[in-house]
Amino acid sequence: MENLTTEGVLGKVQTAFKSAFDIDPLAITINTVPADVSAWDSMGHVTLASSLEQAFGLTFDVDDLMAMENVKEICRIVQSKLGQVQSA
Amino acid sequence: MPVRPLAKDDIPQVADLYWRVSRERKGPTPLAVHSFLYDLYFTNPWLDSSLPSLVYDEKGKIAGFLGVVPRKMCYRGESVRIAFGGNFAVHPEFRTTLAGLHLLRTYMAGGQDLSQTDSANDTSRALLERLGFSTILPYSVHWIRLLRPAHCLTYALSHLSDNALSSSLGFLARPFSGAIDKMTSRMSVSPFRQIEPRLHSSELDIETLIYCMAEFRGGYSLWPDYDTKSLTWLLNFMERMKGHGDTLRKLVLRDDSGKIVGWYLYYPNPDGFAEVVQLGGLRKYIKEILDHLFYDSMSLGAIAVHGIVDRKWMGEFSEKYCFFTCRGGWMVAYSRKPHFLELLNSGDAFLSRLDGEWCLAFGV
Repeated sequence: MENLTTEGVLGKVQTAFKSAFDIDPLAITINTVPADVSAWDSMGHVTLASSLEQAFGLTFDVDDLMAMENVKEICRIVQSKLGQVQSA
Repeated sequence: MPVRPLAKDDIPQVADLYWRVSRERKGPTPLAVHSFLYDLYFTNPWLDSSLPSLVYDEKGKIAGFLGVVPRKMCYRGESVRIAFGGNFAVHPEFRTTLAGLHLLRTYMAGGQDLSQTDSANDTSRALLERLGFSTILPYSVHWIRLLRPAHCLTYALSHLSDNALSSSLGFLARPFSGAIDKMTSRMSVSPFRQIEPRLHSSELDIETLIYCMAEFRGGYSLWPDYDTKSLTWLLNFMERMKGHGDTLRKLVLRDDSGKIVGWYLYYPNPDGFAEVVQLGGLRKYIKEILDHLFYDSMSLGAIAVHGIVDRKWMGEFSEKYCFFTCRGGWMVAYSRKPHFLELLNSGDAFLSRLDGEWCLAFGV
């Protein structure tokens, strides 16, 4: 498992957004919230979760999904899970 | 979090949401929709304040709704609480609030033993599965029996395609399909030939229906628990709301000795697909019960019959020229108690369209 910095995580998150919503990845910043991406509704959220799982090789449970309410939270959860994987 | 229980004062806003989003209609919301929602969510006999319907309240504006109807069931004699979710809608302006996810999560966290829906479409099924629901295949298999094959073809051309040409073709072909269907129904070897049934039918009353469900549920571990009050309310509601047809027909079937051998409830829907709500009886009579249903629905003008199959009877249904599909609505369920999901997945429940939220629809 690679050791990703916050910037590295954000880069992969941007790629996941492109894959889920077909949008310019650079439009996604650490401050992006669902209201900034028109396709980021409940259905879009689960599509995004699948793209994130694929991008990072992680699995998210329902609590993770509910906590991912903006890009900052997504990065935090991803980093926390990557840390858990590395320490395991 | 802006998710809270539905209040009576929310009905006008929820009715607008239902009308514009769920039904994709324009213009003012008919008052009948208000009555439908009020009756369904505030007068049903299974009301339970701990299992309320939910709204997503965005500063006084109802942005989302998830209707919940508890149903009483028995698991090997013990009472079980099942919460059926339905009429799920989120206002398009508020979709990025993820209101849908918050509503579903709150619903799943309720005190019920099972969260269930029996008519999920592909989109809602995908969303629900990601949240932890499972698709229950044994109760998602639909059967269709054509009665007038040529009419079915013209029906498909007229109803299932947006193409103006195929709609016109469907319309123009109607007189010919009548002649073809008449011919096929008279051929001695035709599966579409309807023979007058041997079983004797009469109107099915509430007490007899309760008796039939108890008598013929045959060894299942989970079954619906009705009493006269709850079944009366349910059948009245279905008859008033016309969710799947104008008339709800209920028949009990007896053999020559007068002994009850089966029953069925269905919407005959002349010139359309008859929709079967529930069908049951003694196994050795199932084919005759089907014959009776097909004869009855054909005589009332249906062009085909459609329902959910109990998989233990798939052989008999197949012999009676029914074919099977999973297109038509999925049953999906969630429980923190895995044995309930195992039970449903093994088909060990006496469940029909009468026992979920499919039958609680509103016809317009």
